[in-house]
Amino acid sequence: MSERELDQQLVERVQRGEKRAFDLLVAKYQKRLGRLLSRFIKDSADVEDVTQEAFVKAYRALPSFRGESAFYTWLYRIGINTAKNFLVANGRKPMVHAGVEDEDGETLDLSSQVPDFHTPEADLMNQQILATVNQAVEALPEDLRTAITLREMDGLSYDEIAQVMGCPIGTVRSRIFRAREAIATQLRPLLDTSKDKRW
Amino acid sequence: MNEKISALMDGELSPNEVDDVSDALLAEESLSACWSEYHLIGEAMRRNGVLTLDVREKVSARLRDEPTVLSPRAPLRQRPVRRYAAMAATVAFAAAVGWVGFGQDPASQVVVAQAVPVSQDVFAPVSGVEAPYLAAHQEAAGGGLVRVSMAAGAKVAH
Repeated sequence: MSERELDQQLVERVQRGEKRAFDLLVAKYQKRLGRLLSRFIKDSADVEDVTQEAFVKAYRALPSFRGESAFYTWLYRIGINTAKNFLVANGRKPMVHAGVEDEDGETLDLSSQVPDFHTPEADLMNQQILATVNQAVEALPEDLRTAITLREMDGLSYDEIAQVMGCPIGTVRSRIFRAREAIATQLRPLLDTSKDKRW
Repeated sequence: MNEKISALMDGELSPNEVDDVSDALLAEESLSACWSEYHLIGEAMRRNGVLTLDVREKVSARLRDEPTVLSPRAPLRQRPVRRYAAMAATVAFAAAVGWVGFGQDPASQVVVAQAVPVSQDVFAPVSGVEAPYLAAHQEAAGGGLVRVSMAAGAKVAH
């Protein structure tokens, strides 16, 4: 089942009345959507508000979503419209406009400037997360590091990774999982999400 | 279960496992936290996302006041097997009828109906309130009308 099919399945669960399934989509896409919206809106608090509003709008519009496009493409469009409405309502102009291609190769009209998300606290936390993840990846045994890098950075499937690494697919699955767990273990104290106290 | 969540987010679970793992994810808070952490790791490695942004709680709180969305189920597509079965049944029925027909002695076949030319009075102008309607109807029907009637002495075939 591809990522798009998985999203579609979660969408269908929401459409059948399972609100919790929408939480998983929020968890999956909030940071990417936030990054997209930060190209429109400079203030980090406003980005957070608009991201939140975009998800609520998406939830309300879900009954009409039929899966003709990928969920994230549809969500990004809602996010961009929400950001534009926010800027108009606040008497601000969107920053420099540019055509940007989404992951489907479709052009989205959005501002391409100022991709930062600056408050000193957010910036510091961002740097800490990046540093922790980088250090955790560097500290991984080579077979785990190679597997997680091929997956997350290069987007290879388990089958392709198995061919590259010359091992069974089950081993790839196990290595990627162990790599994620090792990184998450380093990350949890920073996020305050130890097993007994998670988000 | 966490290993299955890892495979699920990579799109590498078999379809029959996906439902079970999704159910578990929705039921257990610790598993959905794991889902979030694994996604965060991916975003951080790709440097693709505002890593500090977290609106899950706020969105969830707002959705609590929202009516539950319910979409009418899309009509189920007819499965090919059923479609072919229906076609096969039709063909079988037609073959059976044909076989019964061909099995008859030609001499015993009777005319069930025959075409008879319609006399001109059928097309005579109609008077009365329904005339415009009937005229329009006749115009639309064209002039090739043929009256079909049971021929005298016709027998019903067995």
